[in-house]
Amino acid sequence: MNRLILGLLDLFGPLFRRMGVDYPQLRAILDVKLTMDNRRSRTGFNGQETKNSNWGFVWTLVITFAMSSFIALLVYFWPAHAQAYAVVTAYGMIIVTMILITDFSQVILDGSDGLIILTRPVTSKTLFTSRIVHAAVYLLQLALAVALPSFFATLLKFGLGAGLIFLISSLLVSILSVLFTTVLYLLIMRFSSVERMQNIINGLQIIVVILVTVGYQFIGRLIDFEDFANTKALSVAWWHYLAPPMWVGHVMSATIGGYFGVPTLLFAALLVVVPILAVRSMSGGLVRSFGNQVGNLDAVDTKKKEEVEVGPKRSVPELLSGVFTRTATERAAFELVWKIGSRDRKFKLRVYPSMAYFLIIGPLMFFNRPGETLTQMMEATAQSEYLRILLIYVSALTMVAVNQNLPFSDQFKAAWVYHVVPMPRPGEFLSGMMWSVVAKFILPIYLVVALVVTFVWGVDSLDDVILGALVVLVFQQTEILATRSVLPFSREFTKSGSGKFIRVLALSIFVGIFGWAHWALSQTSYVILVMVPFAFFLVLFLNREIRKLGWDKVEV
Amino acid sequence: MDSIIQIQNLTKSYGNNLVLKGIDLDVQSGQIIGYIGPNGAGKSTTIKILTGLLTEYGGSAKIAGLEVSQHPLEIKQMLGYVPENAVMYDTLSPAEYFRFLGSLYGLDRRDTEQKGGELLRIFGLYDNRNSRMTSFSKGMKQKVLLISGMIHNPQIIFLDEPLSGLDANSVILLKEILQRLSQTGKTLFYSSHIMEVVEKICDRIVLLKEGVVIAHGTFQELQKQQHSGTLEQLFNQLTGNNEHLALADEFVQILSE
Repeated sequence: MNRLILGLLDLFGPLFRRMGVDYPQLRAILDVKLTMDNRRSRTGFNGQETKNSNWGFVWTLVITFAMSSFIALLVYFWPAHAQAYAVVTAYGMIIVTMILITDFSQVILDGSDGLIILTRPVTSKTLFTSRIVHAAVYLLQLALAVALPSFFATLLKFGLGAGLIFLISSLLVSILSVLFTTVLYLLIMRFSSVERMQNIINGLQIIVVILVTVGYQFIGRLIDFEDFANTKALSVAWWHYLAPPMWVGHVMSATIGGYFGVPTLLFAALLVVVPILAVRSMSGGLVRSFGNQVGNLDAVDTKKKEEVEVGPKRSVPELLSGVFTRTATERAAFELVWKIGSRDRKFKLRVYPSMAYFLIIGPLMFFNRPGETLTQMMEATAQSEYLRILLIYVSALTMVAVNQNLPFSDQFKAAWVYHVVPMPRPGEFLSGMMWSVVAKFILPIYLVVALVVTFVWGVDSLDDVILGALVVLVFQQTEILATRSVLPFSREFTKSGSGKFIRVLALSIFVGIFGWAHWALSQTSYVILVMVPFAFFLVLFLNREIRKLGWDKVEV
Repeated sequence: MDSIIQIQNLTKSYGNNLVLKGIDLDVQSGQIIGYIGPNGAGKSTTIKILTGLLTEYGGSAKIAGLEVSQHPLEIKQMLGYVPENAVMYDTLSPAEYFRFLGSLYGLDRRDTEQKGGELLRIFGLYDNRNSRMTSFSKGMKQKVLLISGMIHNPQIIFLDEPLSGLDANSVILLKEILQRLSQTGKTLFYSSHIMEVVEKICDRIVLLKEGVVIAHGTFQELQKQQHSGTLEQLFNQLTGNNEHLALADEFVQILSE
């Protein structure tokens, strides 16, 4: 792939020479940068990170292409052209922006190459040009991966002319994604520190991953198929002039329909002029004002990094650890898991979207009856005892996301301390870890479940929630007792997802069996209430067993 | 004085690769032992065995009369370990990290936090005690690591390249601290590649090569045996075969070709 790009670039060699650029140097710099693009560890759409791959970026492109192919179906089948192209373009912009946000600091803001390259006999003009070319090549690859499927769809359905216009529009619009990302970075960097910026980006990534995973569930529900018969042209509204996807939508619908009015020309003009202005402003003012600020990004100078104070006050985990744990070791584990769980960006990026996924998908199972009002749905749901119990047990699936990621950390090497300190019973550490998960993740979820259940089924049903939560705890404890556990944050992140599958499977079977048993028991009155103390003591008993676990039950 | 570390015929192999080939060593308490040798000589392996990180080995390794593999907990309570280039959970603040360790050693959490803060003050990091370590420089992290290895006031401290990343003033300070510690009766096991420092602060020097102790004694004793001026020269005589002159010539020659 890189060889192909460089080969194409060679065609422009004479042009670069005329500009006063040392072309062999530019080619060498570009070669290295494109290679690094592929080796950079990146966080994919599933929140997982690829590492040590030589095909990282190519892989991103392939996945992007595949996902875009689904969207391209809209162009082919949706007769409302303006809407179809607007949706496709908006989707493309979101994807490009999302990938840019993660890669941005390395691709466009990389200040380190100054240090490496400018100490060699390379003119700053050559370096600057190779940066621009690299950014352009990078963006072109991305934009093509997003736009090509829809281009082919257009080509097949409306001919070459429409296809080319779409392709050019897409490329122009992707420049706006760069502008958007640049402005975003600039704003964040002006108003906060590097540490905060990384947190904000982390937050954005979490939101995007949630949107993408959940979005796919919704797309089918959202598109009203009756709309497919509606072929009337979309009438122009004032806000269309502010939304770039609408520009493309209107231009494409005019191209296909063969009518041109003043609005169409205005949209076309916007489509061409705004990206050009964007490029000019970015290459001028923006990039220069960046230069200084970006230096800080990679700088070793620690004074520039604002320090994140965690405060001398007793924090939440330090207060709660006294409630949930007994021994010092348990307490250490409780606080460690809680604190790192709230601070480790990669942990958050992997856990929170999956939790959100289960939390959003769960209720969807119940309230998905087209054509009914919310009240009707609620009444129908309230009739069903079975759904209530299902809701309680399905919520346990959120635990998979936590349990699965708990052993991993970027700083897994820091786990050497576990072995240097005198820890007679690592079981105490595991127990502290478990209660931390319970307090931080499971308890809040079951509070929400309790609220929902009270709201829909009434206070009488709360005993079901309590018993369900206790049973889930028992399952959590059984897993620790039955398998060789791993101490928290002591493993390197891996790509393997097999563990997750087995866990989901085991948990699903468990949910099935216990959910059914629970439902069967609930047919007799008061049995659930009687079961609650029994389950409670079982939890206490199992916890004692976990505390006793020795090193032979821990996978080192 | 009684011997605090006793190693007899210690062997360790990874698969077919014999890393330690029968080490004998006797360390008196209150001494600073310089443990040196070229890369791959088995220094870290020895330290990992003594600190209880590697529990399978041949021969015997005793600390305070207790076999390491048999009494890991008692021994870990006595030991402090400052590994080379160690990673810490750096999303925590130093104070939180000390608190965490305090819990694991069974110390009072708040006292440990407090004590850690006071020790940080000595190294000029008091104001950073509640900041996450992600923003720390290498030297700052090294200071936290040093404190974290000693915060439970251990009798024996293993230090692997403890000066790395520290500025000159901190180096002077740390060297002084180490000497005071040994004066109070603590035993220090000091592993480093910086010969000048080893020469200056260590009471005894143990030179390891390819899994065997090839020299052992005070610096003066070694000097007499080998008729060499500095520890660096001595090290080179015993492990480098004096090739460095020829190699340096060759390096310069290839450059100018």
